[in-house]
Amino acid sequence: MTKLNPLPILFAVLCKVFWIDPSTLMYVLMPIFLMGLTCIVLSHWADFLFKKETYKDHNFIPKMGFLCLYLILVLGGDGDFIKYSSGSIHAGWQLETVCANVIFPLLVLEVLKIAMCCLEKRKLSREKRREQI
Amino acid sequence: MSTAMEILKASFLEPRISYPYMVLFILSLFFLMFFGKKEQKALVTIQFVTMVLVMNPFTIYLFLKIAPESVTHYYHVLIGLLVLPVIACAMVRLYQMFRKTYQVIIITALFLLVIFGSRLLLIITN
Repeated sequence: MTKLNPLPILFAVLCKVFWIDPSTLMYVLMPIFLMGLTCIVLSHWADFLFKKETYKDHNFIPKMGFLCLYLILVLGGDGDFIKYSSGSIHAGWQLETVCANVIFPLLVLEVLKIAMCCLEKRKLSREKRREQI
Repeated sequence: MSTAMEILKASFLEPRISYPYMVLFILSLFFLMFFGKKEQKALVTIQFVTMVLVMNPFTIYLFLKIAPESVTHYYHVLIGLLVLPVIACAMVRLYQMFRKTYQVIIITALFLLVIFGSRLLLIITN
């Protein structure tokens, strides 16, 4: 049990139900779907890191730069080190790949957003107190 | 505990491809800490906290007790998650600070050299 198995089992069931060839699903459909999903998650990251308010509506180039550099890093690290981040191209059926590309980044992003909201609220309440004093 | 240290070593230091990434990651952390915007500093903080919480020998020891055969998989997933956004974000910030054409070219060349250089070296030496 060195791998996380639920996702391959789900794909096997999908292949059986929809009469799709497993290799077509794993090597053609899944990479397209997973890479699209990864790009959506990354664009959300870019939206958060390079906000419109801080860049006065000129945040398109930093966002695209972030996406391109991230993908170059993924390409460069293919193999030993960050193999699950680059696995969306050739190992999309593993749950580790989905975790590394979609689930964990989304979770971290949500935690970051919550933390920022809390900080801003605290700042506002402090300012209100100061005004009252 | 010694097994935990061995796994930590195997995850970070054994693959030679990881050296430039680790160097870039540490440099990016410090760079964003000093020159980053508010959100970027928040990113650095959360990555640093995650790194300290998850990648210490004691946690690895616990992981080993729970799922001994999957621990390296989990760590490879976490490394990708921690390292990549910080480096990419720091590079974009660097581009924003140095906007002249020759500076952009130099920074890009250095970046590509660091990322693909170790791979090239491996190919040349083999």
